[in-house]
Amino acid sequence: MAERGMSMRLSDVGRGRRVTVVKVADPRLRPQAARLGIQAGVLLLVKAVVPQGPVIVQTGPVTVAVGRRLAARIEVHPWTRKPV
Amino acid sequence: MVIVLAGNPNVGKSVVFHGLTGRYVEVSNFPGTTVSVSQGRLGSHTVVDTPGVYGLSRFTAEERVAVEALRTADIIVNVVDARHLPRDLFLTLQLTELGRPVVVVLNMMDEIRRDHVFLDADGLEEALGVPVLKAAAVRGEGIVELRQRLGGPAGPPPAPPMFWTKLADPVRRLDAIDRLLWWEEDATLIRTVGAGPAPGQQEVVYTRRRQAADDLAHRFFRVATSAKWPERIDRLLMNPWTGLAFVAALLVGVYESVGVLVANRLVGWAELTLQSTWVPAVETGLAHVVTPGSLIFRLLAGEYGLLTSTVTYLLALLLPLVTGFYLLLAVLEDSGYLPRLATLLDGWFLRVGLNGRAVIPLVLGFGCVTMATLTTRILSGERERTIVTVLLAWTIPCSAQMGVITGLLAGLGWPYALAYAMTVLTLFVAVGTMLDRMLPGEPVPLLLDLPPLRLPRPGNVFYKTRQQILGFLWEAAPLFLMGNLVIEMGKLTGGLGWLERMLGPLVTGWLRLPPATASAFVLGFIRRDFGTVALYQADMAPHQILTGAVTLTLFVPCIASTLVLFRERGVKNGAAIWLGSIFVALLTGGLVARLAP
Repeated sequence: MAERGMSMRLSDVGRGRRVTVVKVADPRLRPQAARLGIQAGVLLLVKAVVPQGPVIVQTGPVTVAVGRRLAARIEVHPWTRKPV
Repeated sequence: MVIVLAGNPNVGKSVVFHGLTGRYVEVSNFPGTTVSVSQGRLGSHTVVDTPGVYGLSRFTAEERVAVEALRTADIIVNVVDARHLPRDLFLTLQLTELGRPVVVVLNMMDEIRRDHVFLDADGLEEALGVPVLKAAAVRGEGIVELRQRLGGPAGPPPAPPMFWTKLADPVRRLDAIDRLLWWEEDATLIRTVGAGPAPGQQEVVYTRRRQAADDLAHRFFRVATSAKWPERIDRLLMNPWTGLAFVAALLVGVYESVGVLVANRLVGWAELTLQSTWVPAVETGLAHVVTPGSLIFRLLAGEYGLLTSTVTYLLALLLPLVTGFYLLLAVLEDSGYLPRLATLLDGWFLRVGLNGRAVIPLVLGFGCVTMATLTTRILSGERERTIVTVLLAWTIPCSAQMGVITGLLAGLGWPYALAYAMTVLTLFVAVGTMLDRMLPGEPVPLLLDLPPLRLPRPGNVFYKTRQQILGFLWEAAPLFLMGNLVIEMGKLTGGLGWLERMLGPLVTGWLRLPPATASAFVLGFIRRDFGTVALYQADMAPHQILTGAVTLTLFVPCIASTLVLFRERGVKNGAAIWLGSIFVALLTGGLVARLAP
């Protein structure tokens, strides 16, 4: 499917979009992100984007502010209702 | 027996701790406010409260503290925010791997009921294999049951996870906590064992644990669609325009409430009352015992008399101001606003080498710089901690000082308040930018859990404010007495006159202030606000008040925060920061004196 080629950075995702995490490419923050529920395979809802600032995502009932530089290192796929 | 409370940040551990032991620990709606360990007693047991962590390893100071506390545990009480069950279960699963009996407390059940969330505690208990209790600790619900459970025999520790039995020998023989840390690729334990987990293994374990947590959550927990208003408010608070407008409105609110209402009206009234009743009463009463005009009389009831002016300043001036500020801070903390502020300002903070998390120590600094310097431990790294510590020591006025300054400036009108704020803000940005350029490395990106917004709970706000006021009186009163004693003695011996003459050229020539204000700087060494109080007495033109306020804000931190500064940053850096503050204060003060109309 085309999804493979559609990988993008979390920092480029607009408000209200749903994405699945492909990879957290920051080894230093990967464990911390995982504990807050942000890790490969997880579905995220982008609740808000602060211009020049963090991306606010929701995973389950937890809301997390992800700094822009970290968001730029989180690789995501657009979420599709039908799994590939 | 040792009972250790553990849980994610901001789940109500401190309230449960209070419920069990009767000891009060500060409670707020900000992740990571408990940095150190508190201990109390429950019958013959010791109860230990730990900092909130999202997982166990040694990434951060909180985790290191929590892990060490858990080593001593005979029973672990895992406090869980029931609203955040899927997140919290990650830590719960780690805790059940430690080979110790665990009791899970599902806290915030009142909100679960209110929001009609489905939560099957019995099912969870069966699946986890450990007791699961329901509680709403703020209302005292579930505490009795927890006490009873802890009073009875501890259950067996949960069975170790399957993959542990497959481990090779040096790892298998480790203590359960060390084994966990080894999986976390802890450098010390890798050295002890001689090898780390195979590459990628840590992630496999993480994913497995995450999946297990998600499975449990999926089976036993279902969220009803949540109310829309917190979402809307959230969006407004974190939108740059409306968010900054809210910050501005907040500042105006502080200025109007603390500056105008408290600092002018209330303080004026209180001062007048004490001066017309208490002071004459002391003077006449004392005259019966001691000869008026004698040394002792002057020490007790003279210009800086311990029984007259000290009491008046402490109770009529400082106390109302400090109360006003602590009350405001308590409301802000309890509502969950601060993490929103951190998110909103993250982009700006990156420019001064920090991430939004630095908002917390900086805002707390407006309460007490000493306490805020201790909270810098929640920051991600040494670099951030250095920058925030310097900014706190140099540019952030503490509540006592801020109260007095707001009072002084409110008397002059808002253009002066604005000029003051702009000067300090400019310096803040300049110093931050400079440090960001000077120090190697770059800021760690923000990763911050946003707790749900809630209306501040009067109980929490009241306790917090009361605790801080007591702390303030406890710390301030003796120092204030001492300071006034030193000043009065200085006057009597002529030492003060000498010091004023020595500082004279600096104060009158460079800062263009009346010579009498030299004593303000002497007092400022003892506590920051005392110096500012001394400005109240001096007869000064508006621009001189501005110069004085700016200089004293930037001037050396009080004795208490100086001690913390040296302890946290070491003697060399501490001394550099301390001396730097004098230099920056005088430099800026002199410039203000020349540029202000």
